[in-house]
Amino acid sequence: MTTTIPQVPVNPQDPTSNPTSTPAEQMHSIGQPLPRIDGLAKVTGQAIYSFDHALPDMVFGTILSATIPHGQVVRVDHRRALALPGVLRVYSCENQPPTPPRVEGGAPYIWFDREIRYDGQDVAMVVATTQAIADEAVGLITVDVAPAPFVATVRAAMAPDAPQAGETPNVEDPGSPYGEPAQYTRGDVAAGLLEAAVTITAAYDLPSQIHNPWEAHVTLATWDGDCVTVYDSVQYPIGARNFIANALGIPSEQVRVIAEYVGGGFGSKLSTKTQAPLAALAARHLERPVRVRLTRAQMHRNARHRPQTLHHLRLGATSAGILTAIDHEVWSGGAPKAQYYESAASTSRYLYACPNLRSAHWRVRVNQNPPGSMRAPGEQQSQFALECALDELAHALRIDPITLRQRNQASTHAVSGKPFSRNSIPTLLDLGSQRIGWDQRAQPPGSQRDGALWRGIGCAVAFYPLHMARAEGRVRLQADGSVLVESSGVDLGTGTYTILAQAAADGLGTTPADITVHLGDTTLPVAPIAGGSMLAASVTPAVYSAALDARQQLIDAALDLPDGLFAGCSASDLVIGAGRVTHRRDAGRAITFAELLRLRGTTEIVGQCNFAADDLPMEYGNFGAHFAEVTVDVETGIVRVPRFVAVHDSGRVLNPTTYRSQIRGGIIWGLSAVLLEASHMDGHRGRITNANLVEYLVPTALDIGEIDVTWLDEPDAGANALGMKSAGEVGITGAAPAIANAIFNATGLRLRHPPFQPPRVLMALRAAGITA
Amino acid sequence: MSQVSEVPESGRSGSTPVPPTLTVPIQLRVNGQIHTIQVEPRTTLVDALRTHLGMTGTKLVCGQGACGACTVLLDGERVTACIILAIMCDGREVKTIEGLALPDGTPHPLQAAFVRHDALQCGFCTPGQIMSAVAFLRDHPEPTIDEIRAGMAGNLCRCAAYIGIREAVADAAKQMRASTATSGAATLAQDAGEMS
Repeated sequence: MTTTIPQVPVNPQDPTSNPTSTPAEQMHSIGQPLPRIDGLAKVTGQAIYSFDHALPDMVFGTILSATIPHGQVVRVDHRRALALPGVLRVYSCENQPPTPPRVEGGAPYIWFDREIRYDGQDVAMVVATTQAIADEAVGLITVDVAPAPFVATVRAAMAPDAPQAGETPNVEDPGSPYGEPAQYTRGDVAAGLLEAAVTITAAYDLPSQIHNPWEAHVTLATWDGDCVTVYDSVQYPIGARNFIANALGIPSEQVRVIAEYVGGGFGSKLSTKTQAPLAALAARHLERPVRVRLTRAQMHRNARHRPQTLHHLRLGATSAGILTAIDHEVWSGGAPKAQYYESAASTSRYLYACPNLRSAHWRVRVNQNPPGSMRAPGEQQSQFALECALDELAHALRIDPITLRQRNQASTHAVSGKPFSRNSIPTLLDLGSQRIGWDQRAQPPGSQRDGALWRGIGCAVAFYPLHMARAEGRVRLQADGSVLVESSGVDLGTGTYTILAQAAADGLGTTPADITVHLGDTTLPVAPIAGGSMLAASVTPAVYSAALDARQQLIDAALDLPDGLFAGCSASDLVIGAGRVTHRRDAGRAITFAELLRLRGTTEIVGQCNFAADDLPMEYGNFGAHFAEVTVDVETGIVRVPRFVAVHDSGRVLNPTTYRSQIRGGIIWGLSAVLLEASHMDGHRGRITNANLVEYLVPTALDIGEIDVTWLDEPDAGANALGMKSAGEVGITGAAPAIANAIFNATGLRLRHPPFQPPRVLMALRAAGITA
Repeated sequence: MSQVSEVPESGRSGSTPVPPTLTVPIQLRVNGQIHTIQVEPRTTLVDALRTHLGMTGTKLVCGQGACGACTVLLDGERVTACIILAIMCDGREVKTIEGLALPDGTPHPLQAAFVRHDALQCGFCTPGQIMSAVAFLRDHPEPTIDEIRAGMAGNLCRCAAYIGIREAVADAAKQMRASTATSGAATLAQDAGEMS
């Protein structure tokens, strides 16, 4: 059961009187548990995803992947593939089209590189009349290669005599490709550690993981003259449009990307994969629609991944548990020619108050496909390491882990210097500890045993910063009575369709049933990526404000009617709904949108808002306190999580139903990250050995126990017009360390190398002399 | 087994000449309607449904029978359509998500419950989850939550809507028992996946 908990004490600097915030009395739909409005389409099979779109004369592409991790393509022989009936065309480095210079400058797009830098890299593509023929034909292509020395694992690449994966040294300071510098120091860490009464040192090794959205990376492209329409499964249609246009050397206006329904993304669909421009290229050559999809194996081998991260932490504290030093250093897997690094020591910089701090990131290039953002990239691993290390410190100090966290609360973001609008962590920890029964945990660790089942409880803080970006809101009142909300942003399953209908309904003063939402089309207004948990917090306030604008225009028009229908009325007398404007107390005084627009001599009223995502004077965070109860079967090594408690603060919650689903999903992703998921790289062959959904483990229904999610439903007024934040990523950040800390509480053993699959747990138990 | 013949693959006329391919005619009874199609022997049931019949409600995810997203009912039993050949289904009855609602569009109790309990996010596993639950509830009309967890364990959900799913299945079971008790045969037939 979900309950709403009374309000959190807010930072006294919080501008609660912010004039942009919206009073609760105007919210009739926002905050209600409206079932998702795209639900019926999805449960009946009527929702058409990019993978489902089909066009007459459509043909199919299959990509051939490299099977060496490093080297040169000497020759690609297409002949046997071309001889297979049904094969229409083969592309490789032997015949790739000369690409025109990029419209926006920069090096031309390389379709198939002769230099192979990782196993799984594109080598060729076959287009054929059926997918089966294309799949068969790629196996008939002969590729001669000249292999080069390679290094495929992070630890091997860090060795002094390791082969170089790319053109630069394997281990590098990544600099500041995303704004924040990779290296950060404040105070004097060495002095802080000396000053400490207790210090701990811990190393954590977190595995590479694969997004595995259920809908593959898939693209259907079809040309009409100079323009191409692309049905693509993406998290950022505008980015896909620009990528495809650049590859083809055409202006972006000639590319339209559509993604009405997206079968999951989790970060993998933020960047456009090669199948998209390849589909557009082949469709242009063949003058017919072309669909190209990645196979499940290719989604493991060539569609980005969460890179492995190696963490080294040192913490120091006074005997009262006041932090004197944090030193968090991370080495994360990178790839040749890719600038991405995992900012996996990021939250350590500011989540707790600490005067002496170093947070350092090193990128370790290996011959693997480029890493990329995967649900809470950086924060997920940073929180794992920091929250586990704090638990280790609390144990060393003999202080309650909750108390330790509460004593080091940060009221100011130490990196930006801005105050947090509020920091609800201490309150959330208190509330969560009551709900889980914190007092019932094993004291000392390892003391609660029921036969072979050892039981424990652990906690961790969940955190994700609030990101917002430019977004346009557009609300169109049509003569047929419909209200259209339009955005190029997508709904990955997060509930975008539903919350935008709710926001527009409240802005307009009507009900969600009156609203039609159109998403996922680059011809619609600008929206940011569906990533970094920023889409909802950017587009929803924009749509809400656009609806307020539309309402104002409609009311002004109604009050201004020449026949005096609403003579003597004020705006508050008028009600909007079901395609008409009606007098609140006299239903006989009403006019339809159609009539009103006709009298105005126009076809529609368009409400607009350009949400700029200005630099704000404060820091806004999504906070959570996570508590896991685990059992460790010391006979089998199986860890189960029968009960999980999460208490969150995400500002105003727009829809409790979809919000709860987001948080639960994040928590299960955390459970999966710590207990199940790892992409295994065979360092001897440079190839991933479990590139499929049989050997890459994800949770099933049997892995899921009770998950109790509650939240403070308190708008954070200064954040935006709705006082809302986000939900997509915060849920994953606390779950994994809470479970790891619960395993310690159950067994007294620190496991620092997830995933904690039974063999690994069993070996640790046996090494410690624990048997059933 | 149907006779093998060398004929152009059906539904593949276009500007490019289509080569002769080894195909066989098969009859699929899908949601009560008979379809005769020409397929290659290697064509999977999911491909026959999605590509040959244009019924894209059934999804393809892992291609290995591991995730359950392509679950349909074959003669009433759950199968993963990505690892069943279409020619193995010649003359047999296939039930898909498109055939679950009543002819007037009223959603099946499971479909309604999935929406009510928010038992989905991206929705890509949902048709398979629901088809799996239809067969599960037919065999377990009064399931416990633990029976649901075990009985639905073959259908993975990457968005992890598992709690909503088990609540929806439990709730639908209740609704279906109630409507069976009151309205009788029509619902029974539908629950059994036999209505067309």
